[in-house]
Amino acid sequence: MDSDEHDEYGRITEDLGIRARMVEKRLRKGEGLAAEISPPLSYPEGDFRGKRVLLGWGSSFGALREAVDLLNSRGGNYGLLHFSELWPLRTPELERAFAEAEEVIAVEANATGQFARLVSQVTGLRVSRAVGRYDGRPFTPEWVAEEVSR
Amino acid sequence: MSAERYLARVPMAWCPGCGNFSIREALAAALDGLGIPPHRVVLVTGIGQAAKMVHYMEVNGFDGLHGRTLAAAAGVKIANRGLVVIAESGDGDIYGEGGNHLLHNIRRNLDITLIVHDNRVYGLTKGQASPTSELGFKTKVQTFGVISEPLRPLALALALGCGFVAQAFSGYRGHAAEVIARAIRHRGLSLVNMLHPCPSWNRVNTFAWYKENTFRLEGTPRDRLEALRLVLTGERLPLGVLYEEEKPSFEDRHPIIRGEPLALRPLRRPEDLSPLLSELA
Repeated sequence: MDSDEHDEYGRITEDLGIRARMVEKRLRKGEGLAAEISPPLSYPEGDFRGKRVLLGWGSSFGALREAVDLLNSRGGNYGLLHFSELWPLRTPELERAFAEAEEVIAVEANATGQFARLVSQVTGLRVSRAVGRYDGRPFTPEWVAEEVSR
Repeated sequence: MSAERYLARVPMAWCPGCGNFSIREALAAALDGLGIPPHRVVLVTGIGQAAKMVHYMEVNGFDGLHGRTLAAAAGVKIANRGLVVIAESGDGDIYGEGGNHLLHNIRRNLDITLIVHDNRVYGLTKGQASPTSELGFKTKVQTFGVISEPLRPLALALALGCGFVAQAFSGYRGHAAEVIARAIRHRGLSLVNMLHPCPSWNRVNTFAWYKENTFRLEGTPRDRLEALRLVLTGERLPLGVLYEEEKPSFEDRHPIIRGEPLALRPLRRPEDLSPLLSELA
């Protein structure tokens, strides 16, 4: 570990050419990572035509899925697109969801819609709104259903 | 053989006049003098100008995280106590970032030689005060001068009961090599505080300043208290071995690590673990 670049023997170097080639080599690893990263889960299965789609990530999955069931049992037409791995960001499912859905609503445990911003930065796609919980408590299905249908 | 075989033939990024060049040669001379072949040495460093040493030597090496030099070195020694493990980094890395590792590895007393390049300034990051900078030392950050008391590494090590405490100066390369060799021979954690000038960032503690403000010890102080008195009250900085005491190392005391190096023992087959697992059932 060092702030310097290293050569193929692991020795530090200040050689500009080696530095540039090492940066390019590390960037190429991103391609391999992108090829094996987990795709997001869609719920319910099938397409999102006519649905309002909640966009979530991480440990919120269970609460968001139950919130979708709750909203649909009350006559809504909701779906969920949930990411467990965020980077490199997988885009095909996002593009499909945005194309099919009535609207896409980010639901995140932060105040600024961080993942929605990342999606927008990479794909140019913008959620219609971002619902954030930032009072320090975890999501519950009831909380999400109420905030989303507000 | 010659000391040359320990020196990697690579471009070195230290400034002209840096004390690190002499320390590198002193280390090579010490290893050569002891006749330890390069493949039996593991040099572990951290972050900083001193920590570049691992890249400039032709021995096994591990360049660890900032302040974690001793943690990585301890891991190496525990895994294979048959190797000669040398931990080497600067006053910032060992006395600042790695202060806690220093305290507890002195207590642990693994057989590791710790060489700390002490130039009283942060060189890699361009001249901020280090833990050993004197009160009043002015830098581009400490513009009114340092307002914290300097760390006294030798007094600290003596107070903790370190079994080998020494100091050398890069300007006396032959003497530095002798001190390093004695530190390597000592069983247990041995500290060598290696004074050296930083011609780029420390214009106070220069080569001439060290020549004037150090003196060569004649013999070794009679006990720990005399050594402590010397480092706490002396006007000039003593060079040489201040204290040495033979005592059991971590490897001697540890019921598992004692004996053959872990790395050389045959691995247990998973099915052999069943008696152990049944104890937990």
